[in-house]
Amino acid sequence: MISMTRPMTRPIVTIVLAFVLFACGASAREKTIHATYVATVTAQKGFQAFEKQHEANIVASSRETGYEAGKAALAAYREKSDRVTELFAGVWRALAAAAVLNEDPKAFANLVEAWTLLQQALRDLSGGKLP
Amino acid sequence: MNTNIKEALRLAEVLFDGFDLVERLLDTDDNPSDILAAVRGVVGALRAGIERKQSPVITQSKIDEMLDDLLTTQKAQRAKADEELRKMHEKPEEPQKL
Repeated sequence: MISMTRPMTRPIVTIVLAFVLFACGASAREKTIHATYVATVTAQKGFQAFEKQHEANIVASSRETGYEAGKAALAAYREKSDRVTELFAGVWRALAAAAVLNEDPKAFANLVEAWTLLQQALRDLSGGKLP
Repeated sequence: MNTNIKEALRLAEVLFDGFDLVERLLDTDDNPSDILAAVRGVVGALRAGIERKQSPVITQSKIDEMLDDLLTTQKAQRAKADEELRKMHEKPEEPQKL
């Protein structure tokens, strides 16, 4: 489950960050969008590699625990992993909006918020192994 | 963010600053024009190359492609894990009695 520590701080940080990004020149905003794009592609590849290995480990450990336990462990992991997948989809949508609505500070705020949530969820899911 | 990407972006920033400096120096009048043209050409080519590398055009189709990759890869990986789990615990068939 995603940690919701300091719930009041995150929106403030997001708004400040979005303001700073909007205050920057168009070139800086474009660079931010491109950097987020590259970071999201990298994070997705990392997540896919992590998931493949993690599920293989669950299957391997079912030699000891049995078929039903293995099946239950996969289902439990996938429940958490589905949340990360939804957040990735959210980041891609926010990125598309920010790329199209380059001058809209709200699009940046949404992108920063979506990325922050995704990063936290990736850390929670992987126990800090993913960035 | 991945350390390599951070490093690549930092390096690109340094190169851009370097290009700006070279271009400012070239704007002075006491350099032979042929050398100026050659250096400008090299700087322009390098700048264009880095811009292409650093700034891929983000289109809706690229984003759709990434989303599709996310979902199809996950589906395929999960199907494979399910299959491996099933195979691992499959009981060997008993030999048929004659």
